[in-house]
Amino acid sequence: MHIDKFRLLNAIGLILVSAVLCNAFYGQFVGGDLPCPLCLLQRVALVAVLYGLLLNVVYGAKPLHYSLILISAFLGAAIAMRQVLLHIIPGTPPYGAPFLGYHYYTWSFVVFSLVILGTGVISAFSIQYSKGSYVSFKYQQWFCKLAIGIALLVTLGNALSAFIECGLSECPENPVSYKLLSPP
Amino acid sequence: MISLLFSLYLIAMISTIVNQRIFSLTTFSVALILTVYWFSYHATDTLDILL
Repeated sequence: MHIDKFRLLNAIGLILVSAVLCNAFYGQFVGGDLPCPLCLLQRVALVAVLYGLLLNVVYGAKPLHYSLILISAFLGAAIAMRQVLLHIIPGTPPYGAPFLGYHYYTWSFVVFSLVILGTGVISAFSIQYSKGSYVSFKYQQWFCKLAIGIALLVTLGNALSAFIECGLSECPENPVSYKLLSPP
Repeated sequence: MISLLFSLYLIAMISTIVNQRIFSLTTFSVALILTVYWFSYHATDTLDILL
């Protein structure tokens, strides 16, 4: 596989992870489920995964970049598992509406597991490490430009959404309204 | 706090795009450490089972 194909593969990863974050936005803005602190932290870990993928697109694939993806995904899986464990205690209500039969934190654990699995497989192809250098945004392939743009927008959207929901302080455990949009 | 974390990752991403690799990796490292700290804060918090 040509080296540039790995940049493309990572760009596809950017799109897929961004799509997961967009789905979370769908649940938030259409479903009306405001994300709890642990939900937001899982989004943060997904953004950290985006960062590792972005490094691979911009600088070419390197073991360090894949390591950062693995560390971020492991952290995200730990956060998701923490929330799953909270809600499997008998008599404990779930948080938010289910999506395709499972709650978002369960899906989140599945997604982080798939990221770890996928990264483990793709990082094994040593040909991608032979060379690779910085490619500025201007000279990226159109698909990579699109993927980078979407990743940046999704991250910015999450920053704004979290700011409107929680302000600069700690997010409430069970949020029912946006802090900055509520009357004082 | 959470919006600060997202902002740090966003800064790291933009730094990557403009070829500030060392600054980008440093910002990412700081953000990752803060994420772990914030997770630890919530994970060890008194359980509010009505989350």
